[in-house]
Amino acid sequence: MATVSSAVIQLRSFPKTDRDSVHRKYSRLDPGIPGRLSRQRQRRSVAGGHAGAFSPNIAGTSSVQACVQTVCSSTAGPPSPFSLTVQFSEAPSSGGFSFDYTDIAFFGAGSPVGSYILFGQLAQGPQISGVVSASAFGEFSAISPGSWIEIYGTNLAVGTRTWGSSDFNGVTRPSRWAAPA
Amino acid sequence: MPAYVDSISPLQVNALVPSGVSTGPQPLIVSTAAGASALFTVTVNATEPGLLAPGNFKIGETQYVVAQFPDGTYVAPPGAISGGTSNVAQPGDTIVIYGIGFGSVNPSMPPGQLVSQPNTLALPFTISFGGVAATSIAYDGLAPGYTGLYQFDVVVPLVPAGNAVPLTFTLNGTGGAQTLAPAIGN
Repeated sequence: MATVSSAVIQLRSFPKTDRDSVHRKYSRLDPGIPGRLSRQRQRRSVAGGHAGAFSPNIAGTSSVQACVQTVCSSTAGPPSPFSLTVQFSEAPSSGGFSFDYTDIAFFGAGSPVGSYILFGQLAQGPQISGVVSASAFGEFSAISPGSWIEIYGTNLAVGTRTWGSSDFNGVTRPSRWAAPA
Repeated sequence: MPAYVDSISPLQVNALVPSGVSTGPQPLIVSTAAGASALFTVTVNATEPGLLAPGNFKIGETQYVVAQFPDGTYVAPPGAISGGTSNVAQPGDTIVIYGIGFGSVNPSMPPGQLVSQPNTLALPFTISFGGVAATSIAYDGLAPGYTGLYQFDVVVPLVPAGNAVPLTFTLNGTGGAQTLAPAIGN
């Protein structure tokens, strides 16, 4: 099932950087997206979950799009700087790289529209959609100190893990009661 | 203040609310290596009691409370609980029921640590079967060996038999919000 999220990428001017290495790096991830470097001059990768930015340095007749795999948002155009809202989904991987929506969204720019290079990445931070007391105990909307709660949302963790006794030097771990399967 | 995290996944985090959180609307934040979430406002009450009654204890239209005999058998019609043995309780039987959110105990037990000794609820607690209050509650406090989990050892009062006898409780005079039932024989 696809999970749709959104993010806003700020586009603004940056100094020229190593565009060729950027192209090599990301074209490995998605060989289906052709590089067209003439209009892509800079790239800033994003670490730590903050929005990425780059300067498309586009001319008045050019445009820029943000894409995940081959799904691109609506075209945005100059003048720079401007904001571009990126809609992306956890689409099944087919013919491209395997995109982990919990981690990174890629965006790119090109001119004319349809020729793109992967430019950077946007780490998706956690988003909370709801908090309830433990569902097996009533699932109330209010909580109280010392009680178990369930937090729902997206990107709440990269992986899945439940802590066990081995994490506590073999002694019983603090836990809640578990119903039979 | 940080919560005690039990399990994580991209779509759900289970955690234990720390003590000392003020009542009223409070901000909750989830932080990961990718950043911190926006503030999510959640209402915190001093108590928010609920008894253990998971979805797999709902048989037909009846939501059974998880109640156990001392040998671990569940209090429900025989064969009703997948993955466990069950039987009806008789008046006079002692059954064990679990809950969360029942507030402070004496002596105080901090959340996030294994409960190491017996204790009792600080607030008055009653439990009734079919409208008849249990006159004997052998234990009402945090369950030893767990954290955040309350245990109630209750003697079933004399009530008419039924596969779904209504079970209600009050904490400090306020009734619980769940509609639950155990199975009582006679």
